[in-house]
Amino acid sequence: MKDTKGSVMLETSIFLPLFIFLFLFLFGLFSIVIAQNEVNHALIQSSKSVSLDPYLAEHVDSIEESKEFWSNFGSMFLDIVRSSNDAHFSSSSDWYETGSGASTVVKDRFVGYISGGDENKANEKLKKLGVENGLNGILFISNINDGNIETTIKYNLKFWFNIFDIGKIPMEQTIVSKLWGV
Amino acid sequence: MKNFIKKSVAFFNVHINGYKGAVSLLLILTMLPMMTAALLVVESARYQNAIQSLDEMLDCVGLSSIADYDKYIEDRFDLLAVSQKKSINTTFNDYLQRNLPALKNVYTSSTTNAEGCLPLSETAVLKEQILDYSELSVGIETFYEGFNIDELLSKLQEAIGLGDINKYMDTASGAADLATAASDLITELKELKEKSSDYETKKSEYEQAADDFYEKSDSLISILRSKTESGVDDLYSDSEVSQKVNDLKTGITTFKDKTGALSDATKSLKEKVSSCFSKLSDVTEKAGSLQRSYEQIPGTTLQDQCTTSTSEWVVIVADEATDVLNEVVDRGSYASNMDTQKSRLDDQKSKLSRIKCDGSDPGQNNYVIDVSSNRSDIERDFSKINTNAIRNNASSLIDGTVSDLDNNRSTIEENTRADMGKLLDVAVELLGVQLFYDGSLDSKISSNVLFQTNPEMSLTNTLITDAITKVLDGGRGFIEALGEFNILKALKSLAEFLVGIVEFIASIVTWIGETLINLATLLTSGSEMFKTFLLSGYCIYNLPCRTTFESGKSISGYSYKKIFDMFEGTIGNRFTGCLDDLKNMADGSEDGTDLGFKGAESEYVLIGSKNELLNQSATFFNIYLFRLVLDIIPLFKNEQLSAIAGAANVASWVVWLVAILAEPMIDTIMLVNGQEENLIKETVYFSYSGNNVLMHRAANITGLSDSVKSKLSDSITAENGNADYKGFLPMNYQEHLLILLLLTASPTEMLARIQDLINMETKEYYKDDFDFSLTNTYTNIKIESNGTLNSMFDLELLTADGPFSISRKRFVGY
Repeated sequence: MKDTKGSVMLETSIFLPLFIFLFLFLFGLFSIVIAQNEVNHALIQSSKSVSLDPYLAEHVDSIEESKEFWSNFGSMFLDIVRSSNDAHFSSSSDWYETGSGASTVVKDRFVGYISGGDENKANEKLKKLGVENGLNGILFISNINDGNIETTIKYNLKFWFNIFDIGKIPMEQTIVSKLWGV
Repeated sequence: MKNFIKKSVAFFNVHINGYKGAVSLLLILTMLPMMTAALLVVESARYQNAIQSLDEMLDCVGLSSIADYDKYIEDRFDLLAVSQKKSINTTFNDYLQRNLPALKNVYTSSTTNAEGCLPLSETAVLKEQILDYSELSVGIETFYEGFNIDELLSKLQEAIGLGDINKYMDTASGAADLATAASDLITELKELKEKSSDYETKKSEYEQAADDFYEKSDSLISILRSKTESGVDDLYSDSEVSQKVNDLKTGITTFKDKTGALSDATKSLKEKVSSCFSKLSDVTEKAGSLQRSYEQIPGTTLQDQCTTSTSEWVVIVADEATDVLNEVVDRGSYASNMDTQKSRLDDQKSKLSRIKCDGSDPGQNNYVIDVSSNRSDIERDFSKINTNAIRNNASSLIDGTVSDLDNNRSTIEENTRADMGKLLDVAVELLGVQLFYDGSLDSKISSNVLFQTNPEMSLTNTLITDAITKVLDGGRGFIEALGEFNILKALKSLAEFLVGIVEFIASIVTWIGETLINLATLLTSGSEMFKTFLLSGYCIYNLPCRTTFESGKSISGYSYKKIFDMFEGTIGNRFTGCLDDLKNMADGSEDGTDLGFKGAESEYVLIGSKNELLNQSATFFNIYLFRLVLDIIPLFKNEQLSAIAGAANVASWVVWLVAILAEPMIDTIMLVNGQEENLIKETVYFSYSGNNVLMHRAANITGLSDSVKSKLSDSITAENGNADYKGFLPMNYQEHLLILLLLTASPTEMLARIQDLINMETKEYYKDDFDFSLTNTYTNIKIESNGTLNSMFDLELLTADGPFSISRKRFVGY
């Protein structure tokens, strides 16, 4: 290497990939931030939303639940309005009584806030964000305790340029909300 | 400088060998700033993400904190305020600590504080929350009850037609003026009769004095002639002549006095006749004015059948008075005739003063009666003045007419008078009913439990109660006068009665102006109208009243009985209290010892007194007056009632008065008994068909005594069979309260009184747990959080504190 011949090529072949790698790494970090933000937002909003379910359910007669006629005109009106709403944004059932099914309710609400209620879209969107296996890759665990609903989600976030499928980041987030009217 | 350049060149010569490292150097110099910039972008994104996530987290925790709301206020009033049992900051931080791990990678909190704000004690806050709540609940409830606010206001606008009521008042006022003018005419006529009688006496005395004068003059002339023929030298020294001279002088003096007296009587008579014609003109003018008033009111043809009965009677009386007046004097020439007569009498009197009859020097311009005079000349020179300006038997003619009026016009048939008396009794009995309040609801509130420490009571009813008493007394006086065969008394009583009616209607118009203050605003302001409607609706559908406190519920299903029980209420006399009680309780500011109202809460919002009985009584009376205003026009337009009034002839106004006073009272009695009444009536109880309806409806009504029902059915014959009860917008007591609140109460007053009610009830409910305060009923919490953004890489040097501090302030509310 006494001469300068090939030195430019050599330097280029060493440093350019290094810089490109660094750029991609930074972009990957950016993607993780975005994905975390999206999932966090949907989780918090879902938790807020489900926390209000009992209040409405307790205050409005549901003909579907009780199999009896509404006790007043206001309840009838609200129940009809509610029944026409998307199930991903409200529930007339009393799931909060036993806690069973709470995870499903939270998951439905999560889909509502991620994609407006379309599970396929939610799945695609989550995959694009890097969530491993999309919606199916997220584990929802909801417990009701002392009038609170505690929701934990667990998922793996894939790094953006995960060539050898080794860059998975395990994520876990927990939100606690008080159930209204319980 | 040269050294620095030399050293730099030497440095590059040593370290850069041709092109070696040039690319690396280039990449480092260009790419590192780009990498740094990219890193900053990523960090900035993390910062924004952290802020967004933190805001969402604080909102979520805030929502959990306000989920701990006051259960009683929510159950009872359907309002939301943070519970006062636990500190807001403690609750908030408990939830925050459980949720912060979700942000552990991005945010480290240093201080976070939450405190309540915007309590229900702030009127604007309470108003907004009530409006938010009512927009759906009250809207649905009123829709369910068939309440159409636009239709309601439109009907009310027609029903509370102040213009029409004023026209009816003008009519009553015109009738009163006519009756007054007629009574003045009769008074003048009676005085004219006195003057005529006096004039006739004076005239007779004058003629007698003239004849006496002629006789005495003739006697003197005769004795003078006789003595002259007898050769008496000094005639006037003769004792017989002297006696005759003195007799004549006395006769002249008497004749002169009587002439003067007749002159004065003529003058006085002329003035009285003028006065009579003047009063007659008044009657004509008032009758014309009254006729014009009739033409102004709607359904003039109908009114002609009835309301004119009284006026026609007055006009007939006036016509008879006019006839006799025209008969006794010539209206066109009486003044000049009487003036001429008086002038001639005065001349004669003057001439009489200048008579010389004692033989003394007559001087100039004196009239001499001596031996050369003769009776015919004297009778010609001092002839009796013609006194035909008024008919000779004027006083007896007038007297005969007045007697006819007293006997034939001043009275009505005994049966009719008895019926009128019964109707007045009905009105008096109805106005004296013991229904003004429910004795079970008798709290007298202590100022200590009121949030608004100085409640103002809007009770402007004293004037009206006085007017009612006066007008009923006037009606009674008129009916009594009609039985006394005294036309003047009857007319005066009628005038007083009609003036009483005018004052009564005027007091009602004043009540409308002072009380139904929102009517004009509601009709012109759509959005404000709707807000006031929601606020009024909230009060009515969420607060108990005297008809709902036992079995009623709020919109959300809260049983009002719980309030009655909480304040240890016991069922007492359900229907008691009368109009006099209302007057006696007028001072509602007296402090009591009770801690809350037992059931008349809607009435408190309407009236605002600390005395629950007074709130009920004043509400009862306000509903009565409101119904009275609504009923006036349907009553006047009812053909059957017009016929009944027409049959009462001169006493038709008594029928109208009783109907105006009694109809709304029956309505109000029905309402407090839990019945519905049409807001706008077509069928009125004071009619043949309406009486039938009333008899059917009143079977189980407290307050309508058998005596009242009996008198009503005696006076108004009920139609056979079932009659329809026609009208618009049937409403119960509660819904009448809603309209009164809508029309009378200001939103500020309503809200202040709702605050009082919340304070009273909730304080009592929590009395064993804690000291409730309305000022702590927070509807929002203010959250302040300070912290830092965590570093991207968890390195020892960077983990202590991130380079970016974050400070957030959030408000979360219901």
